Amino acid sequence: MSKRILLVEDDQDIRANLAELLTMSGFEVMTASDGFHALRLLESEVALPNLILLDLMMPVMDGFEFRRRQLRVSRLANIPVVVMTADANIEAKKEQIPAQAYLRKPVPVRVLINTIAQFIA
Amino acid sequence: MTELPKTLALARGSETVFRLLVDTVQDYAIFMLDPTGLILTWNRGAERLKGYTVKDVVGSHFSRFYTPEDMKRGHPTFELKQAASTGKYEEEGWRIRKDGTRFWANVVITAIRDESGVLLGFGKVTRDLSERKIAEDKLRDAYASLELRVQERTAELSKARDEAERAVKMRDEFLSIASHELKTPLTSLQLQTEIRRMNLEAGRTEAFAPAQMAKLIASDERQVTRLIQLVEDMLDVSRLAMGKLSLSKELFDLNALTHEVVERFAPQLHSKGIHVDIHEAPTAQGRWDRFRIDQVLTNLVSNAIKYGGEKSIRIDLSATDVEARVVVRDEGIGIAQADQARIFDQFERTNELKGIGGLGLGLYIARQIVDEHGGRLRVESQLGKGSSFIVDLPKLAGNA
Repeated sequence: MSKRILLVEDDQDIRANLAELLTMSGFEVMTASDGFHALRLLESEVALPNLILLDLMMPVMDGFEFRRRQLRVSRLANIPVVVMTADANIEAKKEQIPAQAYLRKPVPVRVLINTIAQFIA
Repeated sequence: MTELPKTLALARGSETVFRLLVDTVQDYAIFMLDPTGLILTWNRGAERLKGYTVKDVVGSHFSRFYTPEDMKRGHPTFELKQAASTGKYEEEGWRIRKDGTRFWANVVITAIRDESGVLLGFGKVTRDLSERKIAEDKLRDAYASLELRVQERTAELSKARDEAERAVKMRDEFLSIASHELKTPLTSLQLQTEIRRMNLEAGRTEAFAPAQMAKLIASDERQVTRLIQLVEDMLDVSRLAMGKLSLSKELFDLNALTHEVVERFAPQLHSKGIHVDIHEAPTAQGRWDRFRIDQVLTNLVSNAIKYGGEKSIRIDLSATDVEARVVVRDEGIGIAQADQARIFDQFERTNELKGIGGLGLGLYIARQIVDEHGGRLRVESQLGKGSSFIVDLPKLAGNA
């Protein structure tokens, strides 16, 4: 059975392209356009994803708030999170958001796939 | 018994010497008062200090040297009473010279009694401390003003530090946002390139069919347009910072330009289902920089689409003999009163917009352009009730 990834990303083009790439790389992909919709999706989903690929700067609910809420729900807390952001100051913001890995956009696909493979159960 | 007259003579002699001594003292006013305060003697020092001669004062009451305030509260009588009951009274205070000027005096009043304790009168010694008092006051004033300067300087420094900290915070925030805004289209392009390479390597020719290619090209164009716009905005801001925004004015009609700008947004308006109502002015001709005014209208329409909550947008044009006006009105999220001035600053965005794309430069640039034309760009808005951006442009802007 293929591994499932939840992709949380507000930019429509990036979301579509990443989803396509991950699908081409053999993953099953679910998508959400912000933290709020991601949480709603996770709450209703029976089969939880094996990993969450999380953008930080998003409208409605950003990545920081999503991660805080995810960690508060025991059913969701153990899903590994890879943060992927275009923010140049991610080093300074790491302590505000614990995660398995931090990637800076744009990220080469090989690096992305290797990182995902490292944390996916 | 021969000793007594001799002692008396000596005593008398010394009394004379003493009298002479007192009389010649220049720096102290030394004089005697009777028990009621009438002046009995007057030395040279007293004359020098207070300006009165012996003739002027002997026999008069010593209260004449006091200020009206002191007289009013009965201070001279109080001093004598104190001296009579404790033997001595000392104070510093203002006294008045014959010419009416004041001086700061050190006063010592000593009660003089005979052997049986009957009060004979008072000895009074007065010293002029004006110079010391002035020096002290100056010192105190200098100290107070120094203290004030230190406080002012401290306040200035702390204000400067707050401003510097705010500038650093704004710069960091801008770097975050600029990096996010620039990298988002770049990421999209980069992912597309990777997808195409993977498809090519896997020999999936169906991924390159014309219908697929048309979609990819449209997406690429979107990203490139976004990047160009961002870079243009940043260049405009640095041009504005250096004061290099020069206008090249020509005669044109705002009605036509407004239609042109809105037309450019047609695909976006169509896909979001937003309707734009343009209410033309009978005529809205003027001399302005066409490219820059285009930029202002583009920014306002783009904001109205972005923040207008996908509801309809209304643009009203009007003109007087001297001025043309464009009002772009949306029915979107609106702008809180507290944010309305800030949105025209560099890199500023309202709290409601955190997380929505944008550099926070558009309105800043737009206002600078309108200002440069001698016009005005302002907003009328209420949170949750939409915003109206109002551009007023003088028709003969500078006539340059």
